Amino acid sequence: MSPDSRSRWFPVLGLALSVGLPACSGGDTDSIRIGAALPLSGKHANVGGFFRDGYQLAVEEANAQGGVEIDGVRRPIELRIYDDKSDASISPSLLERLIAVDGAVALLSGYSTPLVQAQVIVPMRRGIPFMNAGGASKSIFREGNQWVFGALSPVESLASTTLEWLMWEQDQERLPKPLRVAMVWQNTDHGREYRTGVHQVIEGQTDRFELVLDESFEHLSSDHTSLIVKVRSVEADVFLSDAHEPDFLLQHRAYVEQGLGHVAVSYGARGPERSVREGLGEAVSHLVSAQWWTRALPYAQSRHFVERYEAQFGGPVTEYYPAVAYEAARALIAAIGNAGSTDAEAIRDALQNLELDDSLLPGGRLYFPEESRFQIENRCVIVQNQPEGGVRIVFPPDAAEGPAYLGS
Amino acid sequence: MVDLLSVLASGILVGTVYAYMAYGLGLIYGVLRVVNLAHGAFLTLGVYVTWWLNATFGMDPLVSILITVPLGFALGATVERTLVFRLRDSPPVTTLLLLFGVWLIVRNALYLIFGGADRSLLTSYSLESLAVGPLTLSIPRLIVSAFSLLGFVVLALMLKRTWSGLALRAVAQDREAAALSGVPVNRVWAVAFGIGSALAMSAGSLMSLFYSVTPEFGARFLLKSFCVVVLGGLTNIGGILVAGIGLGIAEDLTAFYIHTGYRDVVSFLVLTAALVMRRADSD
Repeated sequence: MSPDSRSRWFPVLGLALSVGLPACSGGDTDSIRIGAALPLSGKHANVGGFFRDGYQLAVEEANAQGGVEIDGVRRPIELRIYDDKSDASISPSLLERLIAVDGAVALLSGYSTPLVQAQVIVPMRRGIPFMNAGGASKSIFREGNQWVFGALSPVESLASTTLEWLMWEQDQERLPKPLRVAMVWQNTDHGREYRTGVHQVIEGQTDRFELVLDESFEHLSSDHTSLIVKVRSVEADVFLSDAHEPDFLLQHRAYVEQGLGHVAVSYGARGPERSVREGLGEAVSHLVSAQWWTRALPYAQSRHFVERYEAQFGGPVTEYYPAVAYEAARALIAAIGNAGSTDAEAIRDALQNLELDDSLLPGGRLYFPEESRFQIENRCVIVQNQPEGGVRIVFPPDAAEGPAYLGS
Repeated sequence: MVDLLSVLASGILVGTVYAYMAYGLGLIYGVLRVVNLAHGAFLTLGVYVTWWLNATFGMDPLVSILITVPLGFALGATVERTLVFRLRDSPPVTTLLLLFGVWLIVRNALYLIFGGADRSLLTSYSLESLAVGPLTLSIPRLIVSAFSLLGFVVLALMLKRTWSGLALRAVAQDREAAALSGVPVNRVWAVAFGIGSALAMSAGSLMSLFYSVTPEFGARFLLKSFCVVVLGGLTNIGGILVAGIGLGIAEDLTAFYIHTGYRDVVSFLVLTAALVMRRADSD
């Protein structure tokens, strides 16, 4: 073999090794493989780490109980995770690799709506169950969807639960009727769905709400002062905004600088994050947010998760990401066990019929309704930031830790 | 009326920030005739160094400028000496791609070191504002505006009153004639790149007072800097200041009176119009 012909084979050998080695390494031939492509580096690395931890915890718990029973034999679950570097262009190919090379029988999602939107093409084309915990947008669940299941309620539920809370406060005569609502929303799928959620409630409750501002803003806007001046000019009672973190930080900064005050201020799901408190300090006290999960939920299973998570990974769990990831993985493993098979269609059917009555998500129950294209529709939980840190659940009433502070 | 005044004041304050982050880009283009796509990298390094100094030592962002300015100068001069200088006679697109590569390296290095999470810093005056009649003005934005005006004055004086400024202007006007007159063109290029980078990093330091810090920070503001530089005149520091303020006011008036969603459209309409008008003038 000439040096030239040898050098031609090196790339082929390298490719074969790079594809083959991960599939051969560390796996138990009796194990059932599930996999995920997560943003462990790049712009979503922080959240990707929470997802990895949540998934791992659920798998470890299942394996501690002997794994799942397939054809009368208990087999462990093996979780295989790849880093998609927060890049939607490589994430789908990693899922292909999990299916074709690693033999994954089902997939767990990555994080962020754009990344999950890119990922869902693979399970739908390959006919593999895909459990989504990282994208709440309804656009992920397409017409005729059979393979994609969502453990995160739609973005609309952030808005609708917030308005339900306001109606409850009105019923307690703590807020007037009608309430003048100023709403601004980020011009993304997330923001548009938040707006839809607000409209769906308000249009049936004209005696309770008057929408006095409904305006979009661009993601990563360089300034929000003029928008906040506009909010001030409409003299609303309630200010609702849906913004990702960089816009939220800038927008609320402008809100505080301009000296605005409303009886209630909410930025969708933003508020309890540690980074938010670091950036805005006491200025985020009394912000109200809708959450897919919070550590203060009074369910035994939620407390159990918090204890296990904090014992294993340290630090207080202040964000919903690991809890939803854990719950999604737990649901998928339960469905594999219910299916009693590693056949994709059997797992899919088991997911479609799954009901967990000990869910740690708000409502305590998890199932995937066909009418919502297999995305859960649990109500969110409303929390309010407390001075000096921490949050308190203020809605729903059966989970509330106390009344909300309402501004003037 | 109060709303209009508030929007105008906000536009002026935002505009001076735009101008400050664009001075360095204009200076480098004026002297080297290089479109510095690494400008975003220096802005991002500025916010990260400032955030890190604040998080580690509690250093105030305004004090951190004493570090980011010399650091920016040293890094910029090094990039010019080691990379840009070697391609000085290559087609412009080569330098453009090289500097784009520098930006990608810096961005990915920051992802590796700090991750992608949004980070912010909080000072005792971060959320303070000043009441001026019916207006409420943000203290951090007033500080940045003051620095922007100061930067303009210092830069203008340096260019007009010092030998270095004379040399910079001579090279900007005619590189070969300047060299024949004894101006050390190579050194002037390094100094120009160093000053431009120092301005970008100090702008990053100041912008950390109100923007969150991520490795994508530079991408967020690079296009805006180009708009300001093209609008103000590629080599005209005074024009850049006026263009920045004009753009800030135009954006805020559009956001308030038409629609907030059109705010960024203004920048790019202005950029397109300026390029078309320049082209028509040159024809």
